[in-house]
Amino acid sequence: MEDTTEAEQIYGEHSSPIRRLLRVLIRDPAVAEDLTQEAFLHFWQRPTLFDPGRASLRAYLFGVARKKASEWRRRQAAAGQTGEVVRTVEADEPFLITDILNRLPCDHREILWLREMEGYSYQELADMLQIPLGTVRSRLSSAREHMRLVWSERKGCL
Amino acid sequence: MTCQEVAVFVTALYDGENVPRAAGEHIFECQGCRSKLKDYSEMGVDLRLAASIQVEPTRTPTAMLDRAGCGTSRPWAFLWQRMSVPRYTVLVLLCLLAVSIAAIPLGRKQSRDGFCSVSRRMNVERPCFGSRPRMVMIISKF
Repeated sequence: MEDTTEAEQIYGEHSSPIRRLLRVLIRDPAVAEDLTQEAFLHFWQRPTLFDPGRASLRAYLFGVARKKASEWRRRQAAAGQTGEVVRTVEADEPFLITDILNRLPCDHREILWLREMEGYSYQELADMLQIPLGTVRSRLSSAREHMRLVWSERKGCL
Repeated sequence: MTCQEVAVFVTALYDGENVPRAAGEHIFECQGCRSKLKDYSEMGVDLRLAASIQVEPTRTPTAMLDRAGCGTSRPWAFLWQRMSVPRYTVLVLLCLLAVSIAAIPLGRKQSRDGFCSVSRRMNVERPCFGSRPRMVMIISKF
């Protein structure tokens, strides 16, 4: 990516969704910000790895971001940390729904976000997450049901 | 069909996917499943609403590119970053090349000394000024 103007355009268009997904996956805004930068740098340093015939640029960047998040979690696990930031979940979330989302398992958070916010079809989710179509259905179903149970409970308490 | 059996199809229906006729009939008649659909819809709206609050980027891409050495201000650094072969292997090869270039005059000097000693052994009187005339002299001696 030798043209900085093009880089700025791509960054302006795709950085917010990537950052939001990473915030959902990592639950630490500072780390999510760093990983967003890393994902874009990865793309700019190796632009030829992106094949427009296989996926859209957004889907490719989501893939890179997910990989960065997994690497970060692995590093945290190796360092003896959980890779989950409880402080953020407990204190910083102003919305009930995102607070509940943050408490779901990582694979549930990820698939729910990609479906609800990014609007990927079941087939696209299967390709992106590299899981069978049936798994997409069942994972989405259990994620939504999990979220609904907590949501109903919490709404009842308000 | 039971509510548990159609659970997957409730989600699929909410997502606009096609569901089998039997599952559709159950969902149409079952209050519990319809209530789930309504909840999913509300949760979806809440999620999108929460996410509509944009997070502003803290770093500009130009600054990021510069930080990574990909900016136009440092093209050599960009090339260095993009190099697909191991960078330090290239560095070592460049060092070896530099050393071998530096060693050429030294080698010439040594070879001149070598010819001189040969010419001394062969009683050639002419002093050694260069390799080629010496060679001619040595050959002409034979």
